[in-house]
Amino acid sequence: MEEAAVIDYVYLAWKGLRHQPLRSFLTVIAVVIGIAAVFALISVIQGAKETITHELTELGANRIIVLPGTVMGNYGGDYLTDEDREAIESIPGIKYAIAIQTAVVSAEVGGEERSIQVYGIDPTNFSRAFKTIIGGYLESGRTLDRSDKGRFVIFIGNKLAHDVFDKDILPGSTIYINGKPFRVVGVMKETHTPIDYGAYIPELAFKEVTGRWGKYIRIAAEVAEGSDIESIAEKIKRRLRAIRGAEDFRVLTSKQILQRVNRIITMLGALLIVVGAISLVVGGLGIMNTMYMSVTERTREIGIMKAVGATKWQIMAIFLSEAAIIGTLGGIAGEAFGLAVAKGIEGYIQTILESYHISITPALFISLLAFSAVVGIVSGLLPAKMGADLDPVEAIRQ
Amino acid sequence: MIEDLFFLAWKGLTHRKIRSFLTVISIVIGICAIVTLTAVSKGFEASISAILEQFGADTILIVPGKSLGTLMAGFVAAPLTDRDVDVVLRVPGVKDAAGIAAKTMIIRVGHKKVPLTVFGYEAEKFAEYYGKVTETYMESGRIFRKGDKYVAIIGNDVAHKIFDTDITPGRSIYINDKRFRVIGVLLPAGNQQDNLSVSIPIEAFKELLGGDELTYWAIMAKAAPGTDITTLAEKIKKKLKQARGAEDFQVTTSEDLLNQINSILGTISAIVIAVAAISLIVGGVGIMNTMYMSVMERTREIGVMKAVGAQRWQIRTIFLIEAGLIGLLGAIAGDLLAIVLVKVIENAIRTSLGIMYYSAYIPPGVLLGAAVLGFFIGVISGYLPARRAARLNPVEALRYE
Repeated sequence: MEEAAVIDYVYLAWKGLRHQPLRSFLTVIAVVIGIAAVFALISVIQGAKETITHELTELGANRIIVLPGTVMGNYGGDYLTDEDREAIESIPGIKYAIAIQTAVVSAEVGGEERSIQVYGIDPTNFSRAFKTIIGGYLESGRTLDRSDKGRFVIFIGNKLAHDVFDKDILPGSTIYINGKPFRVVGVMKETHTPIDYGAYIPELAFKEVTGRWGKYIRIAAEVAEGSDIESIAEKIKRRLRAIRGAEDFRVLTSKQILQRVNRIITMLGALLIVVGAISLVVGGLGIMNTMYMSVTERTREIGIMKAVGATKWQIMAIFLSEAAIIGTLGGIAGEAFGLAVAKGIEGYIQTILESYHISITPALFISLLAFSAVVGIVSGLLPAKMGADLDPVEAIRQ
Repeated sequence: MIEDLFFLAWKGLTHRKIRSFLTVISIVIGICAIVTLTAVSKGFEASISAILEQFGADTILIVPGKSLGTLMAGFVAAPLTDRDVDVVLRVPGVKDAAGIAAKTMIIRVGHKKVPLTVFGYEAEKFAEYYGKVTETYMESGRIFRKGDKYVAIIGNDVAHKIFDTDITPGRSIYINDKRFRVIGVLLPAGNQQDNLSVSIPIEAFKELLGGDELTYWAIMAKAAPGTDITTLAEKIKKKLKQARGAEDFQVTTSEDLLNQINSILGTISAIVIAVAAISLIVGGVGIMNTMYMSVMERTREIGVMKAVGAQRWQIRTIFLIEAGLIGLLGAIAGDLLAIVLVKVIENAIRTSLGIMYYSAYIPPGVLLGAAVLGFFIGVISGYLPARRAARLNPVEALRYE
């Protein structure tokens, strides 16, 4: 028998598939579901990683955050001091540092009283810091700036403006904080962090209404463009260690925060993808089953082919092609279906987080398609071998 | 009569052994995945509720801040003080209350100095409040008792990882240059907070603060016997708000705390289990495929049965039983496999994650539920093929080659 071309194998395999259209269809569907699940999971999880990376590098590339306490977290007994703040500001390469203090205060609007959390800050560099290192957006009005230094003004979170009190609070209106009137200068956009329910006020006013001063829960600093952020973070660490006598604080750069967030997403994502891939194993079993049936039904045919000189490898190639076609068809349809599902999930997440996008790369399409073909071939191996090993005489007699 | 239908279904199943086997296996995998994941996540829920139960159903936790979320985000509210403890103590129905102080301090062993969070407890109340926690979770040594002062209970990493030597009960450590004798070491806890903790009696803690004000990161209150815990929590909230002028704290019962943690854990495990359930759908498609094949192969047989008077429902039942059996067998085998797998994972969590007191938990209902689920997936997947079999025209079926 002369050398058969690939097209011949595919033709014979296709004939095999057409022989039992319903069975082939159901087998493909099983693969479609598995591939769709894996495709959707990968694009949604990868999208989450990319969105977070984008958000963090976009706004925090030049940001260093210093927190009191060790990696164990802050139980409220630890603070940074004015000395720490001055030390950080004096390091070359640091443009400015914003030290944040906080207290819960009573807030009154139109006779309604609520307790809210306020953050006291030096307003000198705040308007710049808000955009670059705090990463907030303005909904209406303005942020705090240097002119607000001695004033009783307040810059409020989105939920505080719209949800906390019965009536909406707009720029220009007045909130009484611990009895003192504060004029609202602006409202932030929603951030999905505790600040949504809180507000920033200038530090002098903070001292006046809370009686607290110099107990900072965090210090955020902006690093000059082009300077080496990691080495500056190292310098801050050394300086503060000298002042405080021990490393009872943490210095975080965006890179470190990113690594930490990514580790959590990667772990949860890997778990989900592995669990999703179980359905592909089940789909593979379906292919194996179909291929066994296909080999059994075509025993006579195989016998005849062998009798006229077909080699073992040729018989195997026919059945492996059939299995690969099932896998590949399932892969193509599965990717299309998975894309639709991922788009649906994207739409849902965007209602919570506007900037979210799923990640769809050519590499994902190609690698999953290749993977689906491999699943088909691997599942087809045993049945194909069974077909190839048939004794031609016995096979024809069937 | 029904035995006959069963017999015919069983014959169908054993007719094509490899096919039936593979179809069953695909259900085994799906059921096993779901049961295993459920057991592992139930185990996490159970260990957390076990920890919280040690605090007792009669315990109320008061922390500063508007929510636990703010604590985690590193935003801190005005801390709690002895004044607040007094307020809580005066609320009718409160049997006792004590604050837990926390501050980062320098721990020295030999020449190595490490800053760690030190917790200050009232030694006398410790046994009653946290006694069960520490005794169960103690690797060696004992808990605090009355009269203890310069003694410390340390987390597992503090004992074995942080310093150059192993620190066992009896050895000394220096906290802010003051000498303390270690009396106990905690078991590995699977979280840094506990593994890196150093606990000392509150009297010693106060001394170490020097002139600083003593503040608490939490106050724990015990309810008097027979008091309704939810009402008491409300009362404490009201009194404390009056005293502090603002509701800048959270009053939670162990039950509230448990619900908060479980809702996060529950969401994650629900997503994972939902993804695992996809494989059951794929398995169901496999059953449908096998059943269509089975019906097709037995077309003549069906024709004969119909010719001798078999009713549609009888034919349908034979195939539904066959499909149901595939699902049921798969589910039972899946349950068994899961029981083994859960043990393996439990061991891995204990050794590699270091959570020694973790134990996975398979709710008995889950095993039974999985078996029922497997059966129904079989029946549902077999419905269309069985209907086709029942509707075959006997004359044409007999003619089928």
